[in-house]
Amino acid sequence: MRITNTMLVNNMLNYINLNQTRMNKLQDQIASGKKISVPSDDPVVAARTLRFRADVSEIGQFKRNASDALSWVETTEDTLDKATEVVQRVRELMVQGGNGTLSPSETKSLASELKQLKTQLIQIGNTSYAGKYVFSGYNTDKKLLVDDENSPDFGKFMISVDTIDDRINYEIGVGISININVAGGDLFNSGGNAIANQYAKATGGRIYFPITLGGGENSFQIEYNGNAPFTIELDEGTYPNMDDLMSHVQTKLDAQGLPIKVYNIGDKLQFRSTEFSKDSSIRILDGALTLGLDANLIEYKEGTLSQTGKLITDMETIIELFEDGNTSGISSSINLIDEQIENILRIRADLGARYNRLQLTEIRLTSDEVTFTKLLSLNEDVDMAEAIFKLRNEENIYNASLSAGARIIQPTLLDFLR
Amino acid sequence: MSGSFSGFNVAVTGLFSAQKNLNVVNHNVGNANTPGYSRQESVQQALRPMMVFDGSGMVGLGSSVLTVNRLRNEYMDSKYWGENKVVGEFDVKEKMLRDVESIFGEPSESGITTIMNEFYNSLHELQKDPGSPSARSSVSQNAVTLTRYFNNISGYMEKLQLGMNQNITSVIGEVNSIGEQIVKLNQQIFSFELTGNVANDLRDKRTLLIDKLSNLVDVRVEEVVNGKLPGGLDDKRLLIHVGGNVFINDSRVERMHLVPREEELNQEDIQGLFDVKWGNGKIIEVRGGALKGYLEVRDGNGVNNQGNNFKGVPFYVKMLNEFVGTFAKAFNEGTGDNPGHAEGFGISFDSQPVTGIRFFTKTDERGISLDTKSFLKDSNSQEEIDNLYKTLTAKNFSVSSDVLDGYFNISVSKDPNEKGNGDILENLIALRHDIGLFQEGAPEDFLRSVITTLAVDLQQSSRMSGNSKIIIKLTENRRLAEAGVSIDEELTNMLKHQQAYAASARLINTWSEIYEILLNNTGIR
Repeated sequence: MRITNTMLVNNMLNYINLNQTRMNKLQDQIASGKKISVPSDDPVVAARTLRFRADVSEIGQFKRNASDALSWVETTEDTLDKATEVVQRVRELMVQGGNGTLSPSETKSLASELKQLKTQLIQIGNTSYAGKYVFSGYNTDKKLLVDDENSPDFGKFMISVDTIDDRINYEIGVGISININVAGGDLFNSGGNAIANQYAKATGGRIYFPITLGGGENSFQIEYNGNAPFTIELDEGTYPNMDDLMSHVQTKLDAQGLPIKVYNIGDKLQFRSTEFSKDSSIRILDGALTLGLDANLIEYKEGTLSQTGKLITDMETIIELFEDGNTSGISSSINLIDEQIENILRIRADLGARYNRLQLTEIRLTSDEVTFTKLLSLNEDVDMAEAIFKLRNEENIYNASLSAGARIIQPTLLDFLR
Repeated sequence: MSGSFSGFNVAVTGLFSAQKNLNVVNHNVGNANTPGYSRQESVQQALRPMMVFDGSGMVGLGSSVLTVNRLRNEYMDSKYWGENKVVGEFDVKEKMLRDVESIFGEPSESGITTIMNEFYNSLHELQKDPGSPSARSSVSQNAVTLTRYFNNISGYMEKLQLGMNQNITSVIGEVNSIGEQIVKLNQQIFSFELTGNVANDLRDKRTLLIDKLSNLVDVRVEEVVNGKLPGGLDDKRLLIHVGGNVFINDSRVERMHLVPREEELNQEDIQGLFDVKWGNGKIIEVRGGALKGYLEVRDGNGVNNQGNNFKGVPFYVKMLNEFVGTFAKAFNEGTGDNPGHAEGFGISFDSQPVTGIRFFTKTDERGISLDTKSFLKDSNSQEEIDNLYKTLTAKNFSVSSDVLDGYFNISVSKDPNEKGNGDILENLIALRHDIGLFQEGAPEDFLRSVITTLAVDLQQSSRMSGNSKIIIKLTENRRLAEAGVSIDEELTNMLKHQQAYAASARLINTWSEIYEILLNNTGIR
């Protein structure tokens, strides 16, 4: 083939350019430490890199979740430990008080210690971790028990916590969650629910209250548990007093089979659910009454009808027995406190199992994190020794091609014509 | 013996021939680096000899330079043009896909993978403390980052499509201008070759123009012989086909026209795109070159569309829109029996339950994000709501203004009054691994598949243009092997002709001496 000068120049430029491209890629790799800088460098490596990065980040999050769950469970466990000590002490006092060697005045003095223990239990019920009440189920912002000693409701539930439904779950793996809390009812109501029944509750819309008198229909509607509203018709002028009105309304409600009790409180009507369910709600609608009675006939009010947990009622029973000096009663009631001890131990065993699971998960996640980080690194990190070696090689080739080019391009016949 | 003074004449033809030859060398050396120049060669011939009937045979009358040819293999030209259209097309595609690749910004600390990671991590943190205002703000901030990412990409894509449209405009201008220059050259070549000479330099110029043209569009070039010229050469007419249609017919050029599009080709397209048409209104179906690259990048939505199944700007916009609509719908409305954000309750302050909030909505024409009410408008039925999410695009994807205005509107509780209830979050987090959500799998699988598609296409475009460039280089070298000027060769020729010139001059001297002897030293004195 005939070779011309332009060909030589073109070829040389071409090869030098190729050398530089390769050197540039190696330099990129060495400077960034990564095999690829854009996905098109190697689509397979890129796809795996993105996948591993998401995995590493997610595992990191699961690890944080697991360690947060552990702190929560530890706090609960500490609290349950305290509760165990308290009920054990109660049992000791009962054994002491029930063996018949103590005088009534001595048992009475033990009753005051028991009262302190009851208060302690109530405080345990309101334990919080990082600002959240641990036994309050989903209502982490609310206290479980009424802890105001002057209140008549002292020791009653303040909120409803469903032991089955109110499970706080933390995700510790893809699609794997673990229940981290102990519901208040589980501990304080022997495995039942904590119930603070609201006799009227605002749900799903506006409450048209208070009802004002003076014009409009002689009827109002009552809606129970979100079912279709039931209309109560009132006959004008037939109610000489509130009690008559109350019994009229009550008859209509009973005829409808609604579990609602009407009360006459200070010349106002009040409606309460007779069902102890945390979800029961009553709404009064369309209240425009024309009656010959006072204004503000019906008052809407929210409030709680609370239950007392079995642990607290048992304590109260025991305190009463001590105050009465009823030693035989005390000894025969030891089984009450035994049942409570049993209950707490059951909860602790369950919680302990969860604690173990969390610990194992945390260890596994830590090793997963290491493994995946390693995989990520294997996938995308440059083998420095290899890259530097290659770069040196490319440098040699580059230098060689430069010097060859310099030799080839320089001379022409002109250099030798004198 | 020949005519008395013919010796002078023979020597003079030698001088003239050498001079002409030197001229050609001179021209070659002068154009050694001229692009498109082909080496010229003079054809020298002995003059018709004179018959002498004295038994000595023929007497040579010297030499003459018949013509100057250009040395060029025209097969190599057509090979070059065939490959150059591939370079033109894939160069454009490679550049555009590189742009898209950098827009996606993967793998990096600011790409979609990182953004998704942070979004989900914030959901996890919220699940651990559903009532916490800071965890809620973190969720809405990360969601804003997520939506902005899509908004940004969409903006870049629009700019890219607009840029492609502008490129098409300028390519068409260039193609038309090259066409006109070629037509002018055709006329000049014709009138020059009438005399019987080959218009070497003009033809070189024309070939160079076709080289340029072949980078922009696909060309099929033929010279149709149309009888003889008075000078004796073939009457050749140049025909250039582009996209199967005649673009240049000797002295006539069929200009390409830009016609504003009346109907959008893809629903993702921006306004104001042009179609490229012939004068008769037919769409030009280019089969290669930069123009094809620009058109496919601008219009390719990945499915077969006028023979164009390239994945261009509309494809990526379509994929992102699909992601945004599907993801937002699953997040807001839930999937199957799993409730989504809209079925959850936010934190209520005055015992009025907060529910039905859509976490993701879209922006209005002014770019302001809508709240749930104005987003839903009159959509009630399942079908209407499904259709609503089809109007979500990467461009208008947004976090609802309910959520932006109040962290308490983030609705993750199944109960209106429980601050610590994050039951809905379980479903929202599970979406990350819901492989039924997209044909490609879970949300991030979908995004990864888009990025991988891009990477593979880019790699292929880059390989195609790389390979074609190598072929072009080889073809160019083979062209140069024939047509290129070799300085060494020219210098050798120069010496050869210089010596011939000197020898001819020397002969004149010799003849002169001979004649002097003949005229002055012989005869009568």
